[in-house]
Amino acid sequence: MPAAKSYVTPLDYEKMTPEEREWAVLTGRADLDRAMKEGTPRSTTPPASPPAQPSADYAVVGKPQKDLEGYRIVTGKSTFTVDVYLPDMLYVRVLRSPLPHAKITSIDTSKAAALPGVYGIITYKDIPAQVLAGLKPVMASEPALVGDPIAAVAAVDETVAEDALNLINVQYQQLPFIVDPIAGAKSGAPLALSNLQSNVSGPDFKVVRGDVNQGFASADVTVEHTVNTQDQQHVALEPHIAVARWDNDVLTMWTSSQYTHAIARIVAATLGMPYSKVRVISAFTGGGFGDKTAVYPYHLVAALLAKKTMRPVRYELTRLDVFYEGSHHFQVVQDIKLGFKKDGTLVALQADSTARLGAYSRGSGLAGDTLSGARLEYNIPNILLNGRGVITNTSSAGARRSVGEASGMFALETLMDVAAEKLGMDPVDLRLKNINETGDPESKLPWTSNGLRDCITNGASAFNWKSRWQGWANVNKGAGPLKTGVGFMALASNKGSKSPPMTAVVEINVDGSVRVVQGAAHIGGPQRTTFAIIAAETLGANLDQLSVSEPDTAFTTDTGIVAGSRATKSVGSAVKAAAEDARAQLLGYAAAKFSKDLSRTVNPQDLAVTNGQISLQTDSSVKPITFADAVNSGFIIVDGQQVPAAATIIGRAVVPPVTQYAQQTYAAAFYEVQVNVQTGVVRVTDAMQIHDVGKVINPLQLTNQVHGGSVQGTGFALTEDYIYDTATGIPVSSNLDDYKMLMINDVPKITALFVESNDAVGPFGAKGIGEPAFMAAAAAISNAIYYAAGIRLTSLPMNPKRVLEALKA
Amino acid sequence: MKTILHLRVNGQDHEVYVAVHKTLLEVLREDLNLTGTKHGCELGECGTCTVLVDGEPVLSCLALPIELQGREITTVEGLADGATPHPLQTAFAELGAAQCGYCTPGVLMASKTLLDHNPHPSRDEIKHALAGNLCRCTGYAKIYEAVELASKT
Ligand code: FES
Ligand code: FES
Repeated sequence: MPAAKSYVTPLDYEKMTPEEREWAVLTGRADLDRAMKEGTPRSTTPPASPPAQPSADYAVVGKPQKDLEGYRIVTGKSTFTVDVYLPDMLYVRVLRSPLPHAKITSIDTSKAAALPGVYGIITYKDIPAQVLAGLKPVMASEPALVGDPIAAVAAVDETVAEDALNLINVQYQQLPFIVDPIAGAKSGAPLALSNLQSNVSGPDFKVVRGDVNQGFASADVTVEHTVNTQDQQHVALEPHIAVARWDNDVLTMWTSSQYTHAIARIVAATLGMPYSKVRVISAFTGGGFGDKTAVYPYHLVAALLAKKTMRPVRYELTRLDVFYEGSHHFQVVQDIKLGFKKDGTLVALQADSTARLGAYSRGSGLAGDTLSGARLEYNIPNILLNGRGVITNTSSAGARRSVGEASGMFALETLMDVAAEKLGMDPVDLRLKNINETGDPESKLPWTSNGLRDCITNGASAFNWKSRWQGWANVNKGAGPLKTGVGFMALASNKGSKSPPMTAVVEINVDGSVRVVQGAAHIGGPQRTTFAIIAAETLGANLDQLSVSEPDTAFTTDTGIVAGSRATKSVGSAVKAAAEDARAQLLGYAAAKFSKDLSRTVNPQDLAVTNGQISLQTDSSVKPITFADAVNSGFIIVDGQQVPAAATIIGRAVVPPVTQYAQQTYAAAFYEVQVNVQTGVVRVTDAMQIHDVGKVINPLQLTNQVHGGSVQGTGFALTEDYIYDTATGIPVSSNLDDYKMLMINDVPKITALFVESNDAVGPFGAKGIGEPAFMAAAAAISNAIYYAAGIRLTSLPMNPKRVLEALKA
Repeated sequence: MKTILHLRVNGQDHEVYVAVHKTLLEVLREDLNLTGTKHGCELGECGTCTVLVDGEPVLSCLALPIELQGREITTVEGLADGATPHPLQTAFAELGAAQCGYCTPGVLMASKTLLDHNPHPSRDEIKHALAGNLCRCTGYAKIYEAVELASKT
């Protein structure tokens, strides 16, 4: 459908009323306008590669582009998995454990099976012990959390399935359980599962650099604190769902996913089938934030019940099911200590992180992730880091927009603020003094680029930090019950890297149109638009020549996961490489065409492609040709030889992993808060994030990512809390009323600014944004609360109860 | 127990034979194949399932269609005028106010009522009208902007 008009044209500030100008700032429209008019500042830190090309050099990259799927979405025509209804389909409901830890002593499904309309039931007895969804039992015999699946019923509709659940008789033997990770790590604690020797999972994560004891001995100033961050839920608005259908020995599964190929691969391996016989489709994904990256019991429940009944089966989780079965941003308890010289030079860091794994995550990797930023953001000669995971009778820990880094950054960047006060330094200057601009000290690899210094200095000036932050003497100086303060944080993240699998195909069709074949989820980035921009720029095509495939493992290559803020950089790299391959072929066709038409030899390197036209650079009097003219020429020039060729081009790419560089993303964040010291309510009144994105591909959508990330990060900081009752093991905020997220009336002005550092390996120098935008909030808010009200809050969320407690202390 | 219902949806009359306890959300999606209306909780907590009944926003996950016979029900599929998108749809698509797009139908319907009653709403009125619609992706900033810009078209 054509646009009625374009809204994304430069603003005319002269003609705007003051109110309209304020509105433009509030909605982020002014940021976009500035980016369009002035371009994005380039990093001044010497990069691993030359500075980013100015956007003016590009036809498509760096220009605001609407989502190619936008009109499908707003007309209700985008097909999410919840919209898949198949003929003759059965519906599933799952009986879940009411106890946090128990053994099933008997289970009787006979009455349920006899209910008219019930076609299939599975319990643990139907599933071989080795058939697991990742590490989770598909159906539990020893439920290890409230909500573990016990029995699944497929019936003609959800009501009948629900009725059948009530007819299932289960006897449990209750077992001791553990919710708190610190208590769980102690010897003698109840074991979360009976086959464990200890709740502490696997060897500890450990990093030693230099000599931490000597480091602290040489320090003039030492600061430390303990930080406790909470379980957070993703609440992707589309519930988790799988629809499964068997056609003889081929399984087709529609599922709301961030990574169709992994679902296909793991479901196939679990069921002992060839990967090629499992087809997974996910045209549009209604949010994920990390929770739709893995195989869960529900995928296998749908597949197994569909096989058992030989009818299509749909299992859509209720919101409560999602809270139970989905993964969680995990609770972490961190002790962190920093040592400085008088002038602010960091000399030592010691940090210890204990992550709550829930029942079915394992190892110390998640705890390690919380320590990554502390290891890499600043130059610190002496480091000792320890981390461990503790298995508990709670929902499983997993990927959640930053995995553990948001918690780690909260611990580090609030302590940096404490240190700045003790050192009597401006917190901005303390960060600038210590930035690690070189590379990863452990792997010895240089950064692909590092724009952190410019993020901090550009942000400080845009936020007016020097006049809004008035020195440590002015902490808690406001009069009256509403106290205002500003806070700052810097951020380094290991997310947003270029990593395999990176494969893509770019086809140029007989009519000159271009199709990008890739399998990455469309989840709001907007990913397909990003890939179209990258392919169009690489080919010299117009954006409207492009279409981009939907994720379907039967037809697309394994493009990798849309998570870890990697889609633009990783999938984008594959799309760019495939487009380069297609372009080289296109020029071969075009050279053959020009050679024939002009009756002389024209070489591919004599040609240029812009706006979908191929022209002869050496002779402007020759009329340019279109992509269609070229591919229909019937010949291609390869190594100077003309060979007959079919009128279709297939460019392909399998991009190798990056081995010469270490990859990071960077940001700075400045927040202003208002603390009501009578009610304890904290409101963010002004938010600014400055991101090193390497290169701006699409300023419109980039700004949108910052808005969304900042608001989720503010929810993490202030309101969102997935709480367990430690006496019963029951989660008490497992609905969307008690699990409090920010709504439209909670949202402040958010400013999104960017720095271009020209990443050495990203497409056009770009890196990722999704997770850094989420992480660049909580510590700045906590630091602002301190500046406003004189209280240091080290537990999240910083809700009214905690604020009032701290004010009383 | 099943019954025959007469529902008027997007200007078209439908006769459906459905279980009496089915919600409007379920009947729209499962019996009328109008899957544009989405759902995030089915408990009245997220606003995703918002449709219009006689022009007023209603959470279809809580509404019983048996009580809505003869009323004018409008869903996102009825928002455009044939091939011409509603100004709200244009503004949302052009500005990226829909990211994953899952909350979007509900937000559009709540916004339509606002603009129908109040063609030039203030910011507080926009806030008020959309205070019940959860969006997990956009941070709401672009939603604000899109509603206001649609009000100017
Ligand atoms: S689905 Fe109706 S309010 Fe959430
Ligand atoms: S756009 Fe994804 S929930 Fe609103």
